[in-house]
Order: sequence, then structure tokens, then C-alpha cells
Amino acid sequence: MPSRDSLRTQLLKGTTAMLVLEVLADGEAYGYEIVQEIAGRSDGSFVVSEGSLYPALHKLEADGAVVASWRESDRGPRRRYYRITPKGQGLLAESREQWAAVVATVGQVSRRPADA
Amino acid sequence: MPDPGSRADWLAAVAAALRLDPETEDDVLDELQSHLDDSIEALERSGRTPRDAEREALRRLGDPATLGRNIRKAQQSRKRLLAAVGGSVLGAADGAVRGLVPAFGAYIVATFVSMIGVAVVSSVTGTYPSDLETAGLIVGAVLGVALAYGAARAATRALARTARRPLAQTAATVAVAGGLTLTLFFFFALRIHVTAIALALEAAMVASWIMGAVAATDRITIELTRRTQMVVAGLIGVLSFVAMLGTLAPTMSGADDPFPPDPDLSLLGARFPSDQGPTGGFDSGRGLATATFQPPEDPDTFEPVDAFPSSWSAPQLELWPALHVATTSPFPGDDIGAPDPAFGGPIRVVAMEAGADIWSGAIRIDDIRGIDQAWVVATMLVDGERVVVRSWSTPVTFEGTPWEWLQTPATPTVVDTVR
Repeated sequence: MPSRDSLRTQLLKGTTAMLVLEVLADGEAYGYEIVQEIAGRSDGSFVVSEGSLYPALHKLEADGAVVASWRESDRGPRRRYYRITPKGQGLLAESREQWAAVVATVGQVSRRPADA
Repeated sequence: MPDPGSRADWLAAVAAALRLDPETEDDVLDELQSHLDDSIEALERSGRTPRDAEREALRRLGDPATLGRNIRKAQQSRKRLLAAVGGSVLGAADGAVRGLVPAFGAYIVATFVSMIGVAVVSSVTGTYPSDLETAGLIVGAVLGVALAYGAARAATRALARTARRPLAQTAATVAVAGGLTLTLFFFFALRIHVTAIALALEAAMVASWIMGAVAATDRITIELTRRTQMVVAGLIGVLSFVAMLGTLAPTMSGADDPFPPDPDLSLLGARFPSDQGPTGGFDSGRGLATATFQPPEDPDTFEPVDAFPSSWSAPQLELWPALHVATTSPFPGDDIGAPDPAFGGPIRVVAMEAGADIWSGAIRIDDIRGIDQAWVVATMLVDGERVVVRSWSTPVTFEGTPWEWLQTPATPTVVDTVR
């Protein structure tokens, strides 16, 4: 039986791109900021693997869902900011629908007969 | 989880796995640097020591090779698109220039700096100039062994970053061809002087080029840590210095002379065909040899000495106390220098005569150290002007002994002069 953290990690797999788009839907952000934002919004329950964040960001960029631009930082080296594109907005909407369908389906499966 | 190592090593491991075009690769590394800065700063604020913070930040990003590979995969669709519009070709050219120019630039600079260093040592120690040339060539070849690998690998990797594999193969071919050209230069430059060392260096350079190109095509991978690179660089430096000293040592110490004095060695005649360099007949008491000290293939044949035009009036061979031994070609355009009366060179004119159509002479060699690097320059005075005799004529084969040839009149041939 997987641990609680392990189960959460497995559930998170495949949702990284969606979570990233969710954050970017509220405004542009850079990589580290996105990780912190996801952790903050989930009260620390979701901690996106930093190792999977950048491949996801670059895939989204290659697919045209986000665009990136460099910007100088006041506190150090330049940062790469990501901004969601209209294509990314569409992808996010689609992802939300799929996620909702998954949640509904899982809910149906896990509902006990007595609950029905 | 194992210790992720230092930040620099971690980033180097990411870069090794990325294999993207240089610009994209720089962007990815900069982005990760920025991420690490933020992460480390936050961890330090939470009470971690700087070293612990760095280690934890690297741990959170995970295995560098995996991260590099995953980012590369994420770029695949973009690469295909760029390749379709010719971006790969542009990227390949750009990468080749980025990879080759610095490598060859560094090589050329390093070689010249080494040769200048050798010149300084030579001037301080008063060593023989011909040894300087050899030492410089050896230093260049030794440096070339290391740089050849880097140049081949950089060029091939630059092209391998693009989507089209055949380009990488082409780059490998070009790199190896370039390496062979370079090694051929050193082969011909060095083999005159030190055949054994030259062959060893040549073999190392060729192997180095091939390994560099092959490594870049992923058939083998040789990754060196920073510490290993420093050790290798140190060894190369020591090897270069030892090679240089090894070349100069006999001259500096006077010991282990590979060419001991041979009072019986006399020059019977010499000629300077443009395509062969100076040749001549020597009677060493041990058989015939040419001025380049390569015995003729057929000991019964001998090439005649040069002749000068009958149109010349009052030719007179110069009788020098010591012939100038030049390190460069005596042909037009090259500075062969003037005879140096103070130079106690190894070649001394015993007697020279000029007939109506031919010249001949005998030169006694008292000390032939480095004679394999010397050019024998024949000069004469024609109407009061000093000229260097050389011939553009086709070599003529003379059947007989050198001495018989010296006594045989020859048909005058066209000669060129340097005033």
C-alpha cells in the first residue's frame, strides 16, 4: 500500500502542466515562483517536483501554450518569465473539463451503495 | 539520495545531457541557475547553512542527467519545426563556428605562445636556433593532441545538437579531415628532425581527433570532471616542457651529442632543386649521403652539383671560415641571413673552386650537431655581387662516383639568384 505522500505524488503526475497553466492564468511567473505558488495555493499539500517543472514548462512552450521572456531581476540574475497564450488558455479549459470528468468518475466509482 | 555534488558539477551534468543548440542550452542553464539562487536563498533564510542549502536545492531538482534529458525531449517538437525550416542548418553552422573557432584559435595562440616561450629560453641559454624550431614544433604537436580532441568533439557535438543526425556524421568527417591535415603538417615538419617523437605525437593526434569525433556522436563518451581536466592540463604542460627541454638539453649541456664530430665527413658537391631542398654528395668514409643526410636509394647514382650560367662573368666562390647554417629555406623570399663570421658553425669550407661552367667544392664538417636541421647554402660573388645559387632544372642523374662527377664537365643549366 503506498504511503499518503506517495499516493499524492502519483496523483500529481500528469497534472503538473495543468497546475502550471492554472498559476499562469493569473499572471506571468518564473519557475521558482510557480512552484511556490502551487505549494501556497494547496497549503503545502501539493509540492510540484522541481525536477519535473522545467521539462513541463519547456514542453508547454514548445507546444505554444506559453511564451517565455527574459527579464532582469532586482536581486540577482535574469529570470525567465512565462506567460500563458490563448492556445494555453484553451488547453487549460480543456484540462479543467477533463479533470472534472476524472473527479466525477472517480467519485462514482468510490461511492458506496449506501451513499447512493 | 546520493550527494548531488557541487553546483558547478551538477550544472555541467545537466549541460552534458541537454545536447541542444548553444543558445537554448545557455538559456536552460541560466534558468536553472536563477532557480537555484532563489531556492538556496529561501533555504538559508529557513536556517540552513549555505552548503546544506545548496545541497538541498540541488536535491529538489533531482538527477541532473534525467532533468537534462527530459528538457531535451520537451524541445523535440520545436527542433523538428526548426529543422523543417532550415533552422538546423543555421544552428549547425553557428555551432560549428562556435565550437571550432575557439578551439583552433586557442590552439594557434597556445602554439605561438609556446614557441615564443621556447625562443625566450633559447635566447637566455644561447641555444642553437635549429633546436628552437624543433622544440616549437614539438610543443605545438603536444598541445595539438589535447586540443584536437576538444575541437573535434565541440564541432561534432554542435552539429549533433540539431535534429538531423547525418549532419553530425558530416561534422565528424570534417573534424577528422581537419585533424589529419593538421597532423600531416606536423608529420612533415617534425619527421625531418625527430622521427620517433614525431610518429608518437602523430599517432596520438590522429587518435585524439578520432576519439573526439566519435565521442561526440555518442558511440563513446568521455566526460572529464573539472579536477581531471586540471590534472590533464597540468600533465600536458609538463609534457610540453619536458619535450622542449629534451630537445634543447643536448645543446645546452653539450652531452649526448647524437652526431659526434666526424673529421672524415666531406661535402663533395651540392645542389638545390626547388622541389627537394638541398642535396649533395658527402663522403663520410661510410658511404655516400646527401646533404639532408638521407642515403640515396641507389648508392651507384649521384646527383650532380649545380651549375651557373655561362653568361655570368667573373664568378667567384666565396670562401668562408664558417658557412652560415640557416633554419629556413634558401629559396627566394626566405631570409637566409648573411654569413656570420662569429658563428662557429659546424660546416667549414676547406676548398671550393669555380670553373667556367660548374662549381664544385669540398666542405669539411668538424661538428655536425643538428646538421639534420641545417640548410647548406652555397653563395658566390658574381661581378662583385653576392648571389645564392639554386637551380630550377630537372635533377640529372650521374652514373659514377661523386668524385668522378666532380671531375666531369656538365651542361650549364638555368639558375635563379637571390641578391
